[in-house]
Amino acid sequence: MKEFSGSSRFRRVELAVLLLAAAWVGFSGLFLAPFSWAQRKTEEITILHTNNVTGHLFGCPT
Amino acid sequence: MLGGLARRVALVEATRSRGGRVLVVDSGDLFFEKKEAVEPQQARAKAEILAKAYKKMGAAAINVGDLDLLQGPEYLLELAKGGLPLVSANLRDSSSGKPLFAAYKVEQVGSLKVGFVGLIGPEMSPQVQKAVGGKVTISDPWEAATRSLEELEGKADLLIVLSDMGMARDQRLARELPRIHFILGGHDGRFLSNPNPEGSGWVLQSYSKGMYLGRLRLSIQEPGQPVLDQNRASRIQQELAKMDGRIDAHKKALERGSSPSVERSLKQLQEQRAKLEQELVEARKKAQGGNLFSWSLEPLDPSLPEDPEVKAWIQAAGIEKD
Repeated sequence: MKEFSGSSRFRRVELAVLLLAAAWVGFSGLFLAPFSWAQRKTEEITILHTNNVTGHLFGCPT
Repeated sequence: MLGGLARRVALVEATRSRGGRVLVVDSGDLFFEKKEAVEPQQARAKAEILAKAYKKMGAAAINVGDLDLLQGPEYLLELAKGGLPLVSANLRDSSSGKPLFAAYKVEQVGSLKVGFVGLIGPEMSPQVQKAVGGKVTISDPWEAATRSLEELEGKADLLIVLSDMGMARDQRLARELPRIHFILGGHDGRFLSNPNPEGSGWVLQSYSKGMYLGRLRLSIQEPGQPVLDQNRASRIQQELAKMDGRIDAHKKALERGSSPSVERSLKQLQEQRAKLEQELVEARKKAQGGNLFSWSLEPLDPSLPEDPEVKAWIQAAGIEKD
């Protein structure tokens, strides 16, 4: 009866891990890509704006 | 009393000190007023203080308005040489035909590039014409805007026009060039507390004489895509409440006696209400994610602190009133 050597068992485990990893990458690419926006960084900016200041340095009556 | 340069600088610095990314911009007609009787020396002293203050605030872009030309183009070019980021896509030197200022400026804010394009209206008042003495030409703002937007393709994620063309032209520009996200306008100095939707963009103005500071808060998740008003749903709700009041008034009038015109008007109101209801559902869905903004006009009231350095500049120049 043929027995598996230690290195052959190791190769089987390695192969299984590789297959699982490939399946996970495929799943992520196919099913999670449309939701990548959920992980995208949101940029927060404040723009402070004036127009028609026309040389005014002081307050004006309302 | 509202406004004051020292108060505005203090408010900008307080906003910056709270953290976050802050850009300061102006849409034009910053330096001079239309009054005929202003002494050139006093007008220039005030313009120099304004230039120093906008540099202190780290202004990202300042558009050239027609009134900014009242001391001649050479004077404005001198101010720009001092490090003031003046922009104009359609102001040219008459003899060489070359642009007087950069057409636009791009600011890197985190991972986002924000492009500011400057535009001036096509007409000059006789007073401005006299001041420039034929030395400058204003080219077609539509062509200038189109060219600048093409140049900014791939260089800016957010396109903002700083306009001194007035509300009607800004609305038309936003409709005709849908790539523009915002037009921060001026020239007619409108009080726009609610953002004005045009095309897929928005037209905003911050009144006049520096009495208010316009605050545009942006939350950008999908660069390049349109930006939606995060308060649109609450604005629609307010409109619906007003409309309900009018509908009730019409119904009461009909209870008192039938009238074809009131019936017609009621039907129109009910149709408008149904449309708004639909818009509300859409606005609530859209406000869940993507690119959002909020807009407010902040009054510079006397309870706000003043920047001591700017106050000292004004006192040192011996200027006591506008």
